Amino acid sequence: MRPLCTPARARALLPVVAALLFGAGPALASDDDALALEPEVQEAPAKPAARPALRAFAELTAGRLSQRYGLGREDVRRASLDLVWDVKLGAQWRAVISDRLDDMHPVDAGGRSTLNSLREAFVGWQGSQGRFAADLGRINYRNGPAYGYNPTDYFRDGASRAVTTADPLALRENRLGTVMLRGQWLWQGGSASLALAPKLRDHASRESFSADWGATNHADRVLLALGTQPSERISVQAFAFHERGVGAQLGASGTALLGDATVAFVEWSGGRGTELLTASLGPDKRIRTRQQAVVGATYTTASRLSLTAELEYNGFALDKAGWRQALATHGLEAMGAYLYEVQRRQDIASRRAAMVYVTQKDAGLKNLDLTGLVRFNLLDDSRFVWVEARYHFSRVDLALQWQGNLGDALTEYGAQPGRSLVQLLAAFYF
Amino acid sequence: MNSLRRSLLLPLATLALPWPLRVRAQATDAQALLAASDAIRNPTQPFRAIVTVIEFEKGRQVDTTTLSSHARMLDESGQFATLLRFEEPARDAGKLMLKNGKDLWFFDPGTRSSVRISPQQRLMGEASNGDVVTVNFARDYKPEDGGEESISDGERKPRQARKLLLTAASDDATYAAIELWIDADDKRPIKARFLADSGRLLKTAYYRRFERHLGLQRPTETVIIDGLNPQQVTLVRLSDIAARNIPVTWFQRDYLPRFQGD
Repeated sequence: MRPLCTPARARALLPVVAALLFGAGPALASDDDALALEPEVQEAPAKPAARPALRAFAELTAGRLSQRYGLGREDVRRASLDLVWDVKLGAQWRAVISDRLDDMHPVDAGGRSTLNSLREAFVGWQGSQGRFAADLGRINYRNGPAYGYNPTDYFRDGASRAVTTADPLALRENRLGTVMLRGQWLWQGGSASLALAPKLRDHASRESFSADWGATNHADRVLLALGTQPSERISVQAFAFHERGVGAQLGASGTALLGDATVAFVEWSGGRGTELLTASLGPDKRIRTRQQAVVGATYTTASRLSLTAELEYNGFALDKAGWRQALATHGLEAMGAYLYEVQRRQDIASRRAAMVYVTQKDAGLKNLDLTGLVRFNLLDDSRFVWVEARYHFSRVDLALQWQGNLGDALTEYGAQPGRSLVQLLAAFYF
Repeated sequence: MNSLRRSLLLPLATLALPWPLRVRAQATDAQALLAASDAIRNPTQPFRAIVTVIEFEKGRQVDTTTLSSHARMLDESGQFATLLRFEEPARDAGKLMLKNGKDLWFFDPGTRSSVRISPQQRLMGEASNGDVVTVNFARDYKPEDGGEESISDGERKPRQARKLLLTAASDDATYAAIELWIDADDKRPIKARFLADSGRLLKTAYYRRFERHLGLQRPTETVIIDGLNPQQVTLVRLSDIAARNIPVTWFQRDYLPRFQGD
């Protein structure tokens, strides 16, 4: 029996199907029509030398927050101004200042509605042959290929001064750097770097315009990082980290290209650190040797849908029995402090967690991006969900966002006061 | 005079060869033609350029992206490494893409993070990452002579061209096959059709607006027509092309946070 549609016939039909699908509007009948197209604006693109050193954008949001514990609903709003000034000081020197000002309403008790975050302020030097480089100042130095949780991002602790988004990628934009002296040695296909970060203050500051040195420079720390690429498809990094008064950690991360559509990644760190529960309850912190790890992959379709899934493990976090016991011993309020400590350290609250992150570029409409994120606590089955539809105009983004904490009353996400939030966002790029 | 004599004698000498040797000579000829055409598309010395990607849908301009590009061969195999910095639109300014074969990285200065991306992950609308970087076909494809053909070129003028049938010969090849038309006299690339494993047409490219840069007449504009939806057309324009020798150590992930461009 003859098949209804042979591969050859299917190929022959493709242009017809394409014409039916895309035929609306003025059609380009042939290659000649395409070759006759001319851009609307013919002005020459700016040369790099004429490029402004300052990049800036402003964000406005307004939304409605639905809360648990009889707190009802309330309106929320935020205005933010984000500035990055990256300038060359001759052929081998540069200076970078990166700052963000957030004004958020309402605020938690004891908090400040206006918070300025001096994210970076450093000078950098590099040799003319590109082999040696050094930086001094507050630097946002981050490592780790995973999306939702980065055990090898050793300077993440205390780096989020103002949490303005749930998007893990955007969240990293708001983080404070760490004051350090960093040297880097580069060779073809690899590099080694050493970062020395001294203790400058004991504690973080909540003052509106504080530089907040204590947030990220609360201990003497040193990080040695080695990076190499054994092949085009594989990259590896290895780390040795030490924090005075706590101890050492070793870490490693890797990425691999599997086929043309999949990138896999793995991250591990093991060594001395403070347990999350004791760190959140008081000064009597317990230092233990534990492991942290993430494994995941991103798959991208030809239609620009990207799906990232990762499994996360945090040996410093509570397991199921530990969570129950802590609730019984310390009560729900103490668990609030625990979750705050998790957020401060940019950790995960449960021993095992998972995350799925999906983006669709040009989702049915040119310049419309859809993004979704789900974080799963694999021990209590509670979930955090965040979705966004964002349309890009030439210098303005408009977005509609929804996020919700889902789960039973005494679970990680079910215990959060905020049940759901819907908000509109406008971003203006200068 | 010597080269003229050689060019006249070579076809006669080829005809006199036994059949297997003649096939090998044709393959060598096709390979040389492809390499010569590559050398016109891609300067062999390290260079920089401004790349403007203009997208059209149904005849209407819908998007424009401007990038500054640095490219250089990292080894003798002819593989180019390309470092691209987004200049426009403003929301993307400062973002970087590094491509070295299938090794692709995206750096966002906002998050200070370098993320490995797959070749299928397009950063610019309908233009593939391979459309805006420097690629030598001779390195990744095996050419066969497809004979002489009369075609319409990028300026919509009739041209006599040699057709080469390229099949993927290395893991780095983006496409299963390419049909490439080259002007046999001046070795300029005229047109290419990029094909999937199934034989489906993925895109058609026309090379045009030849201008003298870095010692040769080179195409400064590529018109890319989507194979499935011909309503989607992308112009990739090169400007401000100049020799620029940035260190090889800059073409790696760990350098991306430091790169400021020119």
